[in-house]
Amino acid sequence: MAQISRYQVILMLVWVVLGTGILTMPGTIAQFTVHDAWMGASFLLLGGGLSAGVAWLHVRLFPGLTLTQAVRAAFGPWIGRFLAVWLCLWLLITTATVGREMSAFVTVATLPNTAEYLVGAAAFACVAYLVYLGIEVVGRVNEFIMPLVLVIVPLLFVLALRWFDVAAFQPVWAEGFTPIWRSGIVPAFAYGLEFVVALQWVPALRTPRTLPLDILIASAVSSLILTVLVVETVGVVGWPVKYMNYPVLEVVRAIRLGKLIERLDTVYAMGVVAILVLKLSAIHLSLCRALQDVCGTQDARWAVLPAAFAVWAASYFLFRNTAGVTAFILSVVPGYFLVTAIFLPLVSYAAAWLRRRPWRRTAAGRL
Amino acid sequence: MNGVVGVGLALLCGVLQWRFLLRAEEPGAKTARLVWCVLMGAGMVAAFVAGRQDFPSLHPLGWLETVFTPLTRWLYEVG
Repeated sequence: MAQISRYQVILMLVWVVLGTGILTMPGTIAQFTVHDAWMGASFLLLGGGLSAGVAWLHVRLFPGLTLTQAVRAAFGPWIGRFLAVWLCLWLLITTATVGREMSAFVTVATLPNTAEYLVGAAAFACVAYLVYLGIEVVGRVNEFIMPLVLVIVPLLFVLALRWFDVAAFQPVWAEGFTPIWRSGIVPAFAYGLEFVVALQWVPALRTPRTLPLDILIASAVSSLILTVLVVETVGVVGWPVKYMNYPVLEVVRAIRLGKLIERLDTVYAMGVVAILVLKLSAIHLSLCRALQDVCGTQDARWAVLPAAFAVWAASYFLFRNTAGVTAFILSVVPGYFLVTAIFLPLVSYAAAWLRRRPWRRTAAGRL
Repeated sequence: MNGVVGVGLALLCGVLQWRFLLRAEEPGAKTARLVWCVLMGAGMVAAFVAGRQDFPSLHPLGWLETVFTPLTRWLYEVG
């Protein structure tokens, strides 16, 4: 079986968070606080820590198994299969949400005359092809895009600093801790818990036991990048950041050098689309692996096309418009992810531990 | 139009995977075929419904909102 290195796992996890993080995170955080928005992104570490804790338990109790296999092993064929289907639904809804965010962004930013569902179909065709080629190919594409990002992102960051105003962050801590905590809910419980999708890749990891540490590293890197991004966005845009769907796009649009260099938002849009395809591929990999576990087949390739098709259709069926997506992420996703990505695995591990408990073995030995 | 594109894509997937749909005999193939049909069927219905004008009357994620919004609200309030 193809295996991926720790470096590839960390990159995949970083893009899983940053895919939509660089698109909507500053605007989401600014819904609750603008002066102290720079603190909101650091709450991602909380979600990353919770995900790392679940991964730590997983690789010790179920080494070499995916999350869906672990759930089935813990609860048996019937309840286990029902919970595995619940996990499949979670992955499907998550992918549909990201897919809709992507097609809406492309339609707004670059292709206003193209139907959104056609943009989505093109994106999911790329995702299906990547996933069909396997996890190793997805990992390598993640590696390939890294040098491009390392050149483009710092360049855009430095060029936009010209309009940066520190006054947007003053006074510090003026409204107390509550708005800061509220601004950190989505980074912590929506983005931070997305790291749990990596549990579906465990059989394909070269060193599964280091997965918790890899999740912590990925969450620290993502948190740092997002904090810088939020600081720059709020510093450049100021208070209007609250009312923008894509504030980072506006920051990039503001960049002008002389009379010739402007409209660098095209570069940003291309980067966002590439990263979103990688994010969708990573979660789609997990979904296909979950479907494989539910059906008990030896391969997951048969699930790639039908799952991509279902996710594409669901992204337009589940959400009427981008406002619906935003409302879902703000008011449902934190609770939904907390139960599905943290409580459900923890209950499964507890059930598995109770089944294997030492006093039960002793009693069986006496008999 | 969304529905027409949906049916076209579903047919394309069927053609691309005809070998799996008709001949696969590995363990779990029957369940996999059933899941394949469920995903494709649900996808086609969803594509058709999403393309209709009266789509706003539907609220497919309402059940998730009912269950998880109170917990999310508690998370916001606990700070």
